[in-house]
Amino acid sequence: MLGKLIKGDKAVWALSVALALLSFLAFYSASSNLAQRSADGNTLLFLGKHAIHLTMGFALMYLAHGIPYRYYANLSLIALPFVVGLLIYTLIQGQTIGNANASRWIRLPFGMSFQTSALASLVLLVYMARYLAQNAERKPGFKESFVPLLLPLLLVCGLILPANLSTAAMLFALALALLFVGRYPLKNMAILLGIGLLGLVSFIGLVKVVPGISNRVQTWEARIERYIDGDQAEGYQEVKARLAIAEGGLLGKGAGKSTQKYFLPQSSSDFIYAVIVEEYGLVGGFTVLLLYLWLFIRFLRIATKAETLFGTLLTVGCGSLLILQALVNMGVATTLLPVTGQTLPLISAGGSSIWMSCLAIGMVLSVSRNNLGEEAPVDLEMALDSGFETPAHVAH
Amino acid sequence: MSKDRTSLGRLYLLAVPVVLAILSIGAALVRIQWLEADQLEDRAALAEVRPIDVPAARGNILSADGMLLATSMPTYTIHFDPVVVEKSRFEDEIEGLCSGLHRVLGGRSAPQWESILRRARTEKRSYVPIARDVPHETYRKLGKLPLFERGKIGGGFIVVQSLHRFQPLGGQAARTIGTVREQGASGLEQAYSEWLSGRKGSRLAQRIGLETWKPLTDYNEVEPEDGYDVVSTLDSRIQDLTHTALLRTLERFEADHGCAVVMEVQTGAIRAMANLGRTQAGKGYYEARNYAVWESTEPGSTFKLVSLMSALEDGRADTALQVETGDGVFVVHSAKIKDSNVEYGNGGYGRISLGRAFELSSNTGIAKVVYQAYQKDPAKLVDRWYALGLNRPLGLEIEGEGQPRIPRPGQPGWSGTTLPWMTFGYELSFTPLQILTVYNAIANGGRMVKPRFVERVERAGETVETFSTEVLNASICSEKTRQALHDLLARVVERGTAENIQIEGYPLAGKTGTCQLNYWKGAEARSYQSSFVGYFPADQPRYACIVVVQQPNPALGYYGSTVAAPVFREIALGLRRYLPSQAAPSEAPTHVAPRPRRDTDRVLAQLNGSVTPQMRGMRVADALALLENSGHRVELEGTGALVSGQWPESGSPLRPQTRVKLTTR
Repeated sequence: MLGKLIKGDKAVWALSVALALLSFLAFYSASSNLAQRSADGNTLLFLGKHAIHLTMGFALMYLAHGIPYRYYANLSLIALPFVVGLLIYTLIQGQTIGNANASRWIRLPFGMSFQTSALASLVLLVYMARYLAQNAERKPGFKESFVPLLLPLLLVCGLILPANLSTAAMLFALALALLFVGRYPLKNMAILLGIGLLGLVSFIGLVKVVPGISNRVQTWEARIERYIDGDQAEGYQEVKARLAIAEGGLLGKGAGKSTQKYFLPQSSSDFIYAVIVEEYGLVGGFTVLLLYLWLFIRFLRIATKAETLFGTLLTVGCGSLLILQALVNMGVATTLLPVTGQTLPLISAGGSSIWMSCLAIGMVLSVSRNNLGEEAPVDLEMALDSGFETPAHVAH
Repeated sequence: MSKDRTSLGRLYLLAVPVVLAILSIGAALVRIQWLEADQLEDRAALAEVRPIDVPAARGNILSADGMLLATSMPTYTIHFDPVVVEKSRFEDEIEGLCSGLHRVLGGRSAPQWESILRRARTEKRSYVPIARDVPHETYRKLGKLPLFERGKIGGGFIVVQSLHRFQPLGGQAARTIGTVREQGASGLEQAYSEWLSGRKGSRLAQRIGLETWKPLTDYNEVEPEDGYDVVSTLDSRIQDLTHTALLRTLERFEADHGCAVVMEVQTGAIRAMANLGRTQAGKGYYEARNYAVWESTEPGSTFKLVSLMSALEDGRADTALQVETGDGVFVVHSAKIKDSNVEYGNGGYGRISLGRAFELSSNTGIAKVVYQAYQKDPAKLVDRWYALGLNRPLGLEIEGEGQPRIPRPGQPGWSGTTLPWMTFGYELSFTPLQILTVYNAIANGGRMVKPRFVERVERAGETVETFSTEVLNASICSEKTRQALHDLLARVVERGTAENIQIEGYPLAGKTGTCQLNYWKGAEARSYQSSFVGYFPADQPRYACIVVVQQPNPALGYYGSTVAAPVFREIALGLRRYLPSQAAPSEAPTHVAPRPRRDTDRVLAQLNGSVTPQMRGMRVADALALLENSGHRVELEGTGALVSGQWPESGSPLRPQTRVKLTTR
């Protein structure tokens, strides 16, 4: 019965549900820090909010997996100007969340907030996948592809950069990976990399000359310096994260017994992995790691099995966005990387992170559905209309 | 296939960094755990474990006859949360709860309670006060009521326990016993705070929240050291007598406030000290302020003793000296000194002896003699008083002693009328205790001793420190003078102003004082201070006593002889049976009555050995804690602070979870 309702790769579904369930265990404990700082100390309130976020996320995932993935190509075309506008709006009107002084958020009704860059990243990657798939055979040159392919990338990254370096850098890296898989010429990618680095350097230079444009540069400097200096000037968050991991031991302290969660400022999002290790030990830490690895393997499989290049590239874009976020988050929690604001997909608190993760998984599931031949024949016409190469064995 | 091999190859290439990243995260976990754990955990321990205070039990204040004057008792404040209770359960049990509340607490009727609780539930108020600072017994009964028996989550029964400082004498001597507060502690509680408070211990606690710490171990790093018990000089029986006598008089004469102090002549021990002032509402009296210690006023006629003593010592007068009081008016510097009988038309006493003038409390008689004796060198008189130390406070242990004031010639405020008015107790000011100390010296063979409030400090009945009498002045005057003054004081009662308080076969000595508080105002606005100070028995002084009544209703009486002296008489009469010559040996206050025992170790050992310990004489708070911590249920009878009876008897076997009955006194 479930099989009739749910289509696509069952393992991806199962892994998503497993991560979401895990998030409740971790979140209930870690959020007591948040709850305690708030007026009434009600952990259930935060947990309820998290449950609502997840429910909405899975609804979104279900919706997204039902839409034939070809639609996403044209959807991205419409959505791209919209998200660019949204990014500009965020940068000007941006909200800070709690003590985080980065303007990355816009307010939504019902007291929710939304991190625009998460949506923008997803839209941009889909958009780029569309262009690469459409033009794979023609092998367009640098000049020809600059305006339709590279300019949107530079624009979106440039708009994310002032408030959120790590997301901009990650998006840029993901775009390079996408270009790589999409058989974009390596030479052109080198030029793009050059432009990207030049842009970053000039932005930092601008902020140094005209202070007050952005306060983030100092934060980056401090974090990177701290990271490079290593033990001599360890940041508060890093020390607490390592303490949490060290105290976890093999099996952990047990559910809800974390003490470091009270000291980790972002214990329910950025550092949730450290809290998981503290409470559930190495076993818990490796479990989460393996769940993501498994998810990655499934993504890889869906990408290779995809019948169209767009399917492959869509999976690569969405999947690697998710996996990279997870890796960076865990890298930060294990202090391999300097502190960034990346969340642990499906586990960390935060509506926009959960929704975008679910949307990304939903789109990958839609691709997997097609691989399994579950797609309705009606979609064929749509595919033809949108000017894709006809899949070799679509008719059945 | 639209995808070529290149795409797939590149795809697999992409997997390499991902796998490497996952491997390094796993490796980092292991490395942090195995290689850095020890070093990190030490630091974690430092940051999140710290010692927290373990409070010490405050010692008791006891009366000299072994009664508890102040002790710490656990009390319970109960709130009800009607919001957490399920609707059906609330409806089912609300009636039972409300009739129970009425039964246990009295006061509000069951329907009143019901309307209060129902309203709170509809208004979603989850903290409805039920009872404040009630004893354990009441708390236990409340906890058995419907709904409440379901506890906090199911029944909304919210309990906060606190240690309450409790004065079992119920307000008597409350100002002398004093209060313990973070700021503004007073009385003996404050004066002996260092002895009473003990030393707090510490134990390790682990941080479990931003400001939340939970104990880490089940033992203390530093054991708290409980406070010592302070045995006061106050005698509960004498205090009761004094309190009652003063209260009756204040009520009868509608006075504003007053005090009465009983001091043991030889030792200076204060056996009773009552300080009563009107309540805000104007109905009834309570221990409002420590007037005896604090209130410095013009003493009036009681000071005539001191001026007469000086004149006798300097040889400038003797009690046989004849003085013309005439019609009771003596004009000095165009101001009139009047005798008290002037206003009734038959002023003055004619030509009388100085001693007789004292007995009759004639202002003109005393003023004429003493003023004329020192008119030329007033400094000699004032210097004599300074030499006696009358210008300095007594230096009592209890804080807040009023400053005495004696003007000096040449100082601002000294005028031509200062000296004559001083001779009969105006223009200078003293506290009741300061005046009492002088009279006590006359009773004590001239030896002036400091009033004291504490006999000793002890722990578990063992004396740790004793306090002895402090002599302020070994001899305030010659024996001849003292004898003369003593005779005069006795004659005041025999045939003078205090004739009305004579007791057949029980000689009293003392002096009345009637003082106009605002003599500069018109006759109709005047109010009075009525006092009497003296000692008894006159032939063998045991106790000195002062009674000061402020602002009695003049229509009902204001003379020292009518208002204050009868209080003195009542106290003297009441104390008569305690005097050695009068009382049977068993009745005399021995001041070694049973005291609360604090030998918790013995009790604990017996409890652990399943033997019923002897709990009689223990503090109820201690017994309760020990028994309940050992898993027994305790049924308390009475509201006293000490255990007076127990069941099972001590020495009998005690099975686990037995119900133990304690009666208290």
